[in-house]
Amino acid sequence: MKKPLFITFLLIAFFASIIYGGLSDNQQAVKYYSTGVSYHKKKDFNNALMYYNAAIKKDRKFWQAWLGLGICYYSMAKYRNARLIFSYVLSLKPGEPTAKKYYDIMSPGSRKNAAALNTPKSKGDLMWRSACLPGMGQFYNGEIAKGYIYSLGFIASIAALIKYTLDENDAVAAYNNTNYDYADKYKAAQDAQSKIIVPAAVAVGIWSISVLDAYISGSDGKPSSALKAVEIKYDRGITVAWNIARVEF
Amino acid sequence: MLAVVVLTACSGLKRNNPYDPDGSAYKGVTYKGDINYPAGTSITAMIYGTTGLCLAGYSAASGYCVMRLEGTITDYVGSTGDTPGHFRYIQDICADDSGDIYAVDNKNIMQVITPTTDAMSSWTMTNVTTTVDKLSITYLSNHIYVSSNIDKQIFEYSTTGAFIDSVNLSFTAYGPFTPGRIFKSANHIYVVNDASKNQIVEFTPNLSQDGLYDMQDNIYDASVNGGLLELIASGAVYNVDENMVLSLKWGNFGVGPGMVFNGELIACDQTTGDTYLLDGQTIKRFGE
Repeated sequence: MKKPLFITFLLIAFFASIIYGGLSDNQQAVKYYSTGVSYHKKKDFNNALMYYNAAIKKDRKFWQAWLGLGICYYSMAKYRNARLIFSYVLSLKPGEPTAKKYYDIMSPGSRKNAAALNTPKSKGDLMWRSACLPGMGQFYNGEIAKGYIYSLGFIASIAALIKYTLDENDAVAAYNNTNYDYADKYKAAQDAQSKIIVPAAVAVGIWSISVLDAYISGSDGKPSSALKAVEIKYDRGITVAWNIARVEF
Repeated sequence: MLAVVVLTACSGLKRNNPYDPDGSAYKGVTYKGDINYPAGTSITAMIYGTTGLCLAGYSAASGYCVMRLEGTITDYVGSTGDTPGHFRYIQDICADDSGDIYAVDNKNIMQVITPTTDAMSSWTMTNVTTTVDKLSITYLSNHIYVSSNIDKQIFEYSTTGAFIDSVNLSFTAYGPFTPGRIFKSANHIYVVNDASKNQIVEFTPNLSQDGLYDMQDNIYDASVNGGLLELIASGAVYNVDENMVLSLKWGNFGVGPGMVFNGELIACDQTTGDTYLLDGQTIKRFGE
């Protein structure tokens, strides 16, 4: 009776080693990892993070768990964490293609970086930036041309507003401190005051359009149909996870 | 937010310039431009007579004389000399109710000009000591009043030269007094202390002292306008009543041509109410 049972166990261990071969020697870590992957596939990044972390705690050299963790952070737009983790993955497994790919696109100066960071940002993130300075939300969202148009337009209108305000102050002072040509100087002060309205209106307009544009361009936080699934395969050709990343390569 | 900050930096525009006739804070005085007078003229006295603005002083064209400005034409009366019909260091002029102009120079002779014909006559100012240093004259109620700094007296004459009265004015409650510029209101005459021009002594027409004032500013000349006295100081004009109670200070507001920088003489057109100021080398006209 014992012999068939033992053979069965060996077979199970063999197939398990095929399926999870090269992952980790720590079965508990593998279990956490596989749970993390399943959450990851469901885009439940918080739970995925928790299980990846648990797996890493069990086996600190478990680079696949580190990779999953990095991709999770990337998907959550926490690029700084993601970059550090991918760097660590590359130190654990030099040349690992997936980690290298992510690491490269997040490296400063990388052209791909802009594309990577072009991940749709939340409406709130874009709007408060645009509210602070028109164009900043667009820059943050990777819309460089729009960012320049809004920011330079706003700065130019504010500069004009400041100039016209100074002119208006001078004209009003000229009227208040004159003792001749009252009508002409009062008219000049009125004209100077009315001139202020134009750049003020332009500034307010640009500000409003920038914030509105940020609202339209921003993501509402729901999964997008445009999200692209990235299949990550590890060595031995075994698919260890279907990681979903918000990235458009 | 920046736009709001900038907009709040705008000056509020209200039409309340005190010299602006259309302003809500209008004081009733508006600068109306400058009056041209012959170049090379040094003005020592200015009145507004029946024929218009009348100046006394030195002219490059006629020497010491009286100049009546009639539009763009200047009528010169008299010339430099030491006999009647001529002037030397002409010092003051005044006009009576008929329009005759009285002028004094460094002689004890009153010279009278009839403006319509420019005819001149004269009479001697009795009791005025020669050699004269500074004389100032004014007309009130058919009498001519003369102040003399050397005599330290005020003399009263009829318009024909009859001596009526005189009063000594060498000391007041403020201390020593040197009679200088003399001017009138409707019912009083006033004498400025030439050594301390902020002090003014008030007399009744019969030369009884009726008041002593410290104006807190040096007063150089005065004229009656609309029942009020207009006193000119170097940087302002004071509208005061007969008791020197201030009702308006003007000419000291703002910058530019309508400002009084170096006021010396003042004359008023009783018909229009316009005021003429000699400010340095410029005669400025003000009015409502």
